[in-house]
Amino acid sequence: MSVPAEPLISLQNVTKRYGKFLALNDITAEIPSGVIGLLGPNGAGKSTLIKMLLGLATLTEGQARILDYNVTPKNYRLIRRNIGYMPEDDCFIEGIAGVEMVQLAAQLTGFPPLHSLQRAHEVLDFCGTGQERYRQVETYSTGMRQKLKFAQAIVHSPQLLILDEPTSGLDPEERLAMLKRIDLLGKRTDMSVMICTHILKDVQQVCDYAAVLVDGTIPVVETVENLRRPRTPSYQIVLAGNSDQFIAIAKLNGLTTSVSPVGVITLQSSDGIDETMIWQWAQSANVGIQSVVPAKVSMEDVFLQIVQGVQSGN
Amino acid sequence: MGINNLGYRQWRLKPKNNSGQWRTIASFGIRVAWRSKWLQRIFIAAWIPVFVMGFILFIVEQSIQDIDSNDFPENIGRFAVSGFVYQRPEIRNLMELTQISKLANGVNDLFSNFLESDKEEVGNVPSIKGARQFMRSGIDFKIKDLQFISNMSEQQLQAALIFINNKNLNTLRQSIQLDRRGPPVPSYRLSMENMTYSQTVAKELIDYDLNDSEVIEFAELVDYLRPTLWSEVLFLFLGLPQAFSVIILIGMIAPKLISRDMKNRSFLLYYSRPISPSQYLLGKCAIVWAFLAGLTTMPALLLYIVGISLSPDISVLYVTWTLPIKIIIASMILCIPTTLFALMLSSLTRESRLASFGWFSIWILGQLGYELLTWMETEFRVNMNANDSVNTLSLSKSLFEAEARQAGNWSWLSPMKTLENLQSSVFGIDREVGNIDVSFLVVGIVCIACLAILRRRITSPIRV
Repeated sequence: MSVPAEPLISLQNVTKRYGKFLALNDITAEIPSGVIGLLGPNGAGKSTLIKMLLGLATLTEGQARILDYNVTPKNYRLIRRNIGYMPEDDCFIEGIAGVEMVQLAAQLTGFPPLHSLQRAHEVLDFCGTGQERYRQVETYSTGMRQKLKFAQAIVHSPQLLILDEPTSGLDPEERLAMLKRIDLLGKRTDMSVMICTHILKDVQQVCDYAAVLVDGTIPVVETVENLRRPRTPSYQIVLAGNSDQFIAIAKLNGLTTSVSPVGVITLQSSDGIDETMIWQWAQSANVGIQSVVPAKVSMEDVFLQIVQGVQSGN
Repeated sequence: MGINNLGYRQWRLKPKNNSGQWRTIASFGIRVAWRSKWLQRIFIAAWIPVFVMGFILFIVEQSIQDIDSNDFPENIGRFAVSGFVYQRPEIRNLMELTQISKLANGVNDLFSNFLESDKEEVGNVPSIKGARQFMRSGIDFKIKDLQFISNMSEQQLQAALIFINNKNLNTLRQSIQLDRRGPPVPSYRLSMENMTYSQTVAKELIDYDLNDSEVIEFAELVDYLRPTLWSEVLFLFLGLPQAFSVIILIGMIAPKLISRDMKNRSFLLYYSRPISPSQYLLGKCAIVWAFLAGLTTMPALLLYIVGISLSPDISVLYVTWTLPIKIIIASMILCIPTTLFALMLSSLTRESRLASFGWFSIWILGQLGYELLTWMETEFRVNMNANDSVNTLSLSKSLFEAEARQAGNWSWLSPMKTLENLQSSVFGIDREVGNIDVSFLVVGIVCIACLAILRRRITSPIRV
């Protein structure tokens, strides 16, 4: 595991029980700062972990630390002041306009009314909310409410932004815009972002790290890059011309090859592949190379491997 | 693109580390509630009684100024103020007790004249004036009569109590029988506490002889009773028009406050901020209190100020300075339990309509329960009495009903009566129905129970 020295979240033997049901099972993990994807099947304990970090649920056993604060009732106010939370649930405050809801969120964090109003307009502009900000929240569509929840979460410039299913209910265009905003916040500001989602493509697209939560445990916290790296070194090549001779040369050099229906050649070797050799083989086969990239495993595959591994006890 | 569209910039402003978030919840809640046109109309309508009551205070003060006038129309004031003074239980008691004093003096004079026959003066046994006569001429007390009362022993007071009670009951019987018109007749049994209080008033009045005339004249009596008269007007204001406005207003505002948050899962938005459940609850209470203060405390204080301003005599300020404090306490007694109860109902359901229904039902059913049980008590007493005297059954029923109402054994069932009792106690105007301790106990228990339920309900989202 390659985790920076100062973890964003540190969990030591964290256990949470609801009666006899074990929601979090003796978790010990360190989650780094950056943009983190918290993945897990339904009922894995993602929401419980988030609520526990916010002080909305109490720990049964163990210790948790977030943003240099121990998660104890004494620190709840400080923790919440420095965290922005976008809940998954369809939640809103009835009777007020969108801009008022964001202003309220800022004021509840401790900012003065006028500054809060100005800031509310700023973040609503950032979230692409137009004049509909003056409409009452209960008249909003699901997508608009998602943007509003996002705006209220970032209004106070938190150190950590926790987003629970941020792209659910959004159309493709809005989904991309939301991911772009998350990427901007994660990459160009000091803000760390934790995304709790089922949409693995989102994690693949914007996250630096992924933490996988399965059956109340966190077996993996790793960079997305490392997770997606295949166990056997592989390259994916697209050639311009007849690839038969190229494949034959690769086989002669001990590589395993496969060709996809669309013509993408995958080369694998347990001993590793030297990229310059690929260029030499192409020259020998007298074919041009359109692209050559290290092969990556999709997040779906990674996720399934981890889940199945935990559930089978490996 | 908005004029503020700056992309994203980090906010460097540091949040205040205070506990004032409840004010934010309150201010937003007030803003939302005030958008209701119906609420605005009710609120404005609720201010109308201020002007009516202000006019009454003006009339009272003008009447007090012209109390000794024999010219028309100024002397109408004496009649009006006499009505106010006459209906005070302690004054009526004093009038009865002074008659006993006069009777005792008269008997003494009679015996003295009999023994000293050379004296020309004849012993004078007084006759008791009627209520109408008092209201025409005003009421006055001789210092020696008041001294007689203040020197009465406990046994003598006890005897006087029995005498007055029997007399009042007889008068009431006659009034019911004859369908009598005129000033109110005491329709209740006096207690020993009433008598002791009357004795205290007698002692205080002895010191109130401002012109050393050995008589507490009507003007002096009115001056002594002025704070009480003001309290009565303010109690009437808070007890009748404002209590109804409060019930309607709370029924419009409070049921939505927590149930909507539960329905829309707003708790997640609130509690992910640095606020505690106590602040949340305080903020919600403050929304209701702000409206209620605008409906009860502020109009009552304004009424007081209007009364003071219209009063031709500035001395009224000296004798009524405690009233603003009493107004605030009486408003709190009206507002705190009602708000907690309404919010508790709101916290029990996600449908605010159910909470509203529950709120109005409690008031209506409470009053109906009180009326029903009082009626049953009356019937029980009548039946018990019927075994002794069949002939007086039809006559006694109204009497027993009046007694049952005054006893107020079931007044704790009616929220309105209970709150009225407490407010009456605060204003010190002796208008309680039933036991005041029971009213305090009921309100205390309701407040504690509501707080406990509220605490449990609003912390449930973070009690997992």
